Amino acid sequence: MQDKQSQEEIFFFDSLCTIEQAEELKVKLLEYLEANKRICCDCSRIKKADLSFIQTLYAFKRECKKRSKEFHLTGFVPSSVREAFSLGGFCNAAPENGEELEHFLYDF
Amino acid sequence: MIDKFVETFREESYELLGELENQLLLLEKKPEDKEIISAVFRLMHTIKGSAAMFGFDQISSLAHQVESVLDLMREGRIKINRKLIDGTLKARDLLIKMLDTGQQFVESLEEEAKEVIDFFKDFLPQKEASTSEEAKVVLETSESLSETTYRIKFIPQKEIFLTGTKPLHILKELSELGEYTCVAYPEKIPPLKEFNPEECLTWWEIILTTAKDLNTLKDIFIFVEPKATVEITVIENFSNLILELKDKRLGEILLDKGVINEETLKNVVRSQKKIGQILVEESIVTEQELKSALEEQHHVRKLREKQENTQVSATIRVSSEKLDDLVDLVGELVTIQARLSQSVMNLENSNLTFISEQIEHLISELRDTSMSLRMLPIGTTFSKFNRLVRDLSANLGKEISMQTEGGETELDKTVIEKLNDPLVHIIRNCIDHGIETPEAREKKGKSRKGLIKLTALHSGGQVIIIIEDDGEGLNTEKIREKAIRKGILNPEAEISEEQLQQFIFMPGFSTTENVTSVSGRGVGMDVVKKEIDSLRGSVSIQSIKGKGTKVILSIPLTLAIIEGLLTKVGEDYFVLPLSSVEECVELIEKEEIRSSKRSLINIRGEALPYLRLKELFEISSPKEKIEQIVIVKARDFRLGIVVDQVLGDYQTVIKSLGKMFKKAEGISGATILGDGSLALIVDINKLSEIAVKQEQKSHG
Repeated sequence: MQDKQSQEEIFFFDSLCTIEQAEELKVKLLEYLEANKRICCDCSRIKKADLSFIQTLYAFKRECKKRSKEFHLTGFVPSSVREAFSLGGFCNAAPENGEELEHFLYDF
Repeated sequence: MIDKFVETFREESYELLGELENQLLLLEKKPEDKEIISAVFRLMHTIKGSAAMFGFDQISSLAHQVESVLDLMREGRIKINRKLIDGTLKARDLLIKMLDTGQQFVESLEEEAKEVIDFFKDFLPQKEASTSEEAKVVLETSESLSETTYRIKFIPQKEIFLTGTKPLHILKELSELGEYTCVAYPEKIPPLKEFNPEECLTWWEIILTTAKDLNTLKDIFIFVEPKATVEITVIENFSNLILELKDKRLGEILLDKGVINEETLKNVVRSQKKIGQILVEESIVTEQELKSALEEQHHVRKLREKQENTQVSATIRVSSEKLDDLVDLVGELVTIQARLSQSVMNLENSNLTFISEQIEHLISELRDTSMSLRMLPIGTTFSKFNRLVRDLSANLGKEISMQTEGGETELDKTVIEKLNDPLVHIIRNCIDHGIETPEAREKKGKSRKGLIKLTALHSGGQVIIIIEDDGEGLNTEKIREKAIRKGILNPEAEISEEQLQQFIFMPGFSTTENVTSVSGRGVGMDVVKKEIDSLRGSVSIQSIKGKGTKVILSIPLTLAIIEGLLTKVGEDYFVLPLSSVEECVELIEKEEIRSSKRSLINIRGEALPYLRLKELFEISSPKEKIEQIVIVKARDFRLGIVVDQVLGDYQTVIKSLGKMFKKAEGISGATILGDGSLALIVDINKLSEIAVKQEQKSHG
């Protein structure tokens, strides 16, 4: 969910990022993409994430690339999200910092 | 869609839990058998993993706790005893209850689950109970001596999310088995606008070094195969793989980074000399030695491919409803085919007759194949009773073991399902009334431990199931008293022991003085008889005082289609089950030995009782000069059934009679003939009972 009051440019993911919310997340991300030039996503509020979330994030990054928009991860990455990335084989290390994590993700 | 897969998960879990019960009961008998211990562990592990995959967290967490203790048991760090088996059986029962509720979170069972979990926690050493991770390290160290490295390629089907399966759960399970390296391939994921978030577009390559066997790995994928591609290969030489991966990665990395392009890479690879070539040029190996090594390599590769191909499952799971529908449709087809045959016969066209015969042949094969799909071995039902005998005998302070024979005997699924309750009734009676306490047995010179034996065998178109015990047998004196008291037996009547024993099948007939929670309310054996009658079967009892009791059930193989002998009486048609028919002979008047009370016929010197269907069913038609007598065998009894004409064999699709005809004695069903008319199916067992009664009457 985009935090409009405090950090207008940052997209904050909701606490539940699982298959049940996947379609809704896609819609929100596309809206956010339309409205912003610089794309910055924050995972710190996520409590539960599954593979659908990781795939959506990859797809989002690729959409940004297609539209030549700059993409960044930011903020603290909770352990449940880091575990999903490393267990799923998307990186060989999953640091707590969003900016750092971005560089560790394979084929991102 | 998801519901369908959850249903499959539940069905498979029931099967696994059924098997778990069998294995636990075996383990109780052979606590040192490592194969059984491993089987128990594997079953619980599979249940845990699949429950987690489908979001049944409560089931998964309960199974996890039990699994931890089973793991220690496998390591020989916990001794197997009755208490532990009891607890595991209790956990298994609770898991069944949780599955029964069909909900993902079962609040009502939370307390019971806590109790079971606490029970298992007590078995874990303090350290392991608090930090299971540390415990795992200890266990894994001891296992590391015989580790194998596997390469696993896992390509889930796109729709995997819709089945409720979570691929990350599968990966987590794998990671818990040992040294785990996983690489995801997300290259198929398109930009967000074109992306369907409900599709899985990622696949994985996993290298796993573990002490677990291939079956354990396969079990993890049990719910995603066969739709997903799962290739598990053992890597014989792990260092080669590392080199291979390293080479592969280097090219990819350089390409990805744009340092080289594809053309440059191809040229470099082309100009590169192969190891074999260098070795031959340096005269380190001969050409022949190289060729031989390459052949060996090729052979191993081929073997590996072959092995991978044979790993594809050869069975599929089909819902029983679909099988029932199939059998119903085949039944309709058989009826229509009979009409076709009849119509073609009237046309007298040889071409059409030939085609009709071909269709008849094919339908007959289709019928047999579809019927065989519903056939199940009775052993699965038998093995369920091990638990009943174990628990109930312990409750009553008795020592009883159970033996089975002929578990591979197959019966129609519907028949097997309907047999469960009668068998439970009979076995409960054996335990409660039949077998004596260990002390009483010792006094009688018997072994302390009683025996219940279940036997199944084929006999013509019937399956015979015998339930016998070596207990005290029926008290015919008490039966006699009770029968007289109830007014169903004349005090003066002379009646054999065997006949007296059959009274226990009468409603409300129980001779026990103490009504227990187990049996003895007198609602047991008559219900058994009713249920067996509804299956077109028969039940009889043989008992020897002080030695034991034998209950014999005779059950038809199927309830759907039978081979019948079509006969005619007046204008009515009757079908006799062909499996009971021994021969057909003409009934010539002079051979009848008939008095006002008895009907006997001389068949090659043997006087056989017979019944006239015309008289039995009160059919008014003129008597034929030459009638036909069909000799049938019912139980151990030969009987003649007199009809006007024998028309020939007939594939009989059994239709049940409506409520109005439920009490029609001697008729078990009906079928529709080729011309649309109706034929009644004769209940041979019932006719034999009638014949016996008539005989008894004739003897006064």
